[in-house]
Amino acid sequence: MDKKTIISINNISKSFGGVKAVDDVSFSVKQNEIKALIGPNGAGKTTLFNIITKLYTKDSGKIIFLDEDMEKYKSYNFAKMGISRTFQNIQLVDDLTVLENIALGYHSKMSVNLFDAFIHNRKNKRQEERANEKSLEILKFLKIEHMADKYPNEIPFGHKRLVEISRALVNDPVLLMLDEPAAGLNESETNRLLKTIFRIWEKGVTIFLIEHDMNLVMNCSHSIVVMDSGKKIAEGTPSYIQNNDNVIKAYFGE
Amino acid sequence: MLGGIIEFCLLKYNLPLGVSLLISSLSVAVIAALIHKIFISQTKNATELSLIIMTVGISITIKGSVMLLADKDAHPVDSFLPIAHISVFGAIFASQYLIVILFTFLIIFLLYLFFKKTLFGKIMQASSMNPLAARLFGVDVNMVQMLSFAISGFIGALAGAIIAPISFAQYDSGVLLGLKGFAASVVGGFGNNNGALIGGLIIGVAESLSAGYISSSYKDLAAFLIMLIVLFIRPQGLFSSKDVERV
Amino acid sequence: MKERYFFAVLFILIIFLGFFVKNPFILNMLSLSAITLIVVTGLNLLLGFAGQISLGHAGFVALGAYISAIASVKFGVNPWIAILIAVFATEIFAIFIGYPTLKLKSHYLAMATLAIGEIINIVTNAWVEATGGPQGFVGIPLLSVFGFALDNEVKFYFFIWSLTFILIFLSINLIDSKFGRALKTIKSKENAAYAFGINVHLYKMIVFLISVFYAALAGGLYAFYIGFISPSSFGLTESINYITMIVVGGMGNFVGVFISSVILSILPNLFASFEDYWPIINGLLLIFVIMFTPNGLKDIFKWTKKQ
Repeated sequence: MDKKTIISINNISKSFGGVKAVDDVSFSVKQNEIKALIGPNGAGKTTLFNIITKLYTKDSGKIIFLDEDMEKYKSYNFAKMGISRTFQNIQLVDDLTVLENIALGYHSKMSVNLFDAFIHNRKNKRQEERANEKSLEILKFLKIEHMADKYPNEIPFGHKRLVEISRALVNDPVLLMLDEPAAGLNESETNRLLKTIFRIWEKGVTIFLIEHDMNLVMNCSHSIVVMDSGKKIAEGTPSYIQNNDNVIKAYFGE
Repeated sequence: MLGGIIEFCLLKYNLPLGVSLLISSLSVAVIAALIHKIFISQTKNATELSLIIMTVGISITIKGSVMLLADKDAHPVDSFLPIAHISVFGAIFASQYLIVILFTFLIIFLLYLFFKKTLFGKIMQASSMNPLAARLFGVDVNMVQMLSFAISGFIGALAGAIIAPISFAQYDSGVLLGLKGFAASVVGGFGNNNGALIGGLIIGVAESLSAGYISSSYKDLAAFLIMLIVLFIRPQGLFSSKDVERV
Repeated sequence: MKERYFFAVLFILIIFLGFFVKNPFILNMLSLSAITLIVVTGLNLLLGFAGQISLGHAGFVALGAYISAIASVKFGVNPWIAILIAVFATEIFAIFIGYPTLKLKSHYLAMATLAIGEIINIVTNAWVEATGGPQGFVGIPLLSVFGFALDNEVKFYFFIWSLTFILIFLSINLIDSKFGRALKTIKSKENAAYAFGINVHLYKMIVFLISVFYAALAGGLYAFYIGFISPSSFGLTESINYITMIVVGGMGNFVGVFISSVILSILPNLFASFEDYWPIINGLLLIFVIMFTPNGLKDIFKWTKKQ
């Protein structure tokens, strides 16, 4: 049975002052699939990620998410539509506790207005409680609930990553985008991450990740896109990618 | 402001004009460098916000000190030329204006040479655009920043000193001048010397026109109104095609 | 949570103080510091929580004061409606400044608000027919609440402190909501904020307008309390005073900022002969707090945050 396409990236290009960072790249991510984007440093992976989430504007191309052209949406609309992401260099807010940081991810699901917030009426209270419950639920799911009331600078690096993932999960996304989730993690933390990614996938979330750690990618993804110097050079299953000449050339030279 | 005040103090001791001009500008340059060395570069986790607050703190401290050491009065400074007023086509104006125009062009020319022709000028531009990359190439960014503080201190003091015969030297004469400088560079477009020059001209002309046609008490408004209008319709400035870094 | 208890206790103490203190000089001083506190609480939302700086907040206070005064004296409008008009007009002004500059890096807002402060100072000095010029604007009537005229120091003291605490509690509520989380995110991780669905420009506008609301309201109350306003009460020095109070109290900490505002607004009154030294003291405070204890008094009052 053919699976539904969650997001399709069509002919995306972007250059910075004459240098083509992303050059005519197309691929798609299917429902409930774990898709990885890999490539050597400077291949344009993070640029592409930022184009998809509209932190950068693209020069040309089209992005379709759940049959909708994303052209008309702003970057702050994405969360509500079901696209969540994490960041390569962790973006936890130091002034918020772990629990509050995760509740931040629930922002797009809250409809309270300024007045509700000022007087803390029942509507505000109900939504705040809901945000808290959801956040705690996710913390429990990732087994880090003992960290709820700590501040980000009081917890170890590996856990920060998990908190970021929790924050991206809390609003029940359709598509979860992970930007180098294993960067800076040690082996046992990476293993834990791998298990976490699978457990998230089991819940029915589609996952699209950029990764450097080959092991992680080969072990967890269903499909892999390889980029080099801005271009897509291969796409396929892990075993296909492992034996692809172009990929070997890009990674290990001639 | 500091330039004008120091110049005034030195002139009181009957030092020749050229010498006092040089000493006042150089001493402000040194003070600016010291400020960077002692305060700015030592600030922990400096963010843009904390640096703005820091410079505000430094500026009111200097202002307050000058107010205590000198006084609150406006001090007249003699014109640099022996004839105080000249007349051109029947319009009489202070001869000092000639000096101001002369110095402006001189400074712009020197800055142009500095940024385009010298290695150090290029290093400075590079450090401002991408501090990390500059550091990787072995540039001491901290040192560069300190020197740019010194240079801007020098030019600022020189400007204060040559304008003093027109506007008097006073402890709080700096804010308006500094703001107008900012307004001119906003109108012209940041990081664009020629733009800033034209921006300054537009603002200057608007100021004179509003002084002439409306009332001289409102002439300072012109600069800010023009700046706000430009910010509203063309935030990157009139003469800059580059995108301002938006959030 | 403890923050709210702290302020509840403080409120009771301040009300008690009102019953015992009979000296009108002291009451006047305390009422004035309550008005300052309103401005500072609003500015703290902008500067302390959202990390955006306004160097011309005294200008917005001035607009609130002058527009209220002119509306009530020259057009005979009821004082409360005059304040309402003043706040509304000041907000429109703020939209014009905030809309373009809040899209840019933070020093643009700093410079634009600095310019606005200067503009307002120039106009209030120069437009003598409307504002009374440097001599000031006289003959502003008193306020009354539900038919009670606030015609002595004690009555006004109770009124202004109650209002101040209401405004502080409202701000605490705001920060303790999704808006507070969004503002803190904008302060430290602006680029990431979009990913959580935060419309950064809109939120910056909202918090800027709230802080201008507090400032204009305080200006209107000031005018009707003192009965006389002049441009020298709303200069750049005042704008920087507000910032010093927030920086010393700890940006984004209600308790610390409360304490530093009350102390820093009362001290200059007690040591009037030191008037000339205040700018230096102010400047040095800013420099040293930023250099050595960027959190100000915040660290001391950290316990108020823990649940």
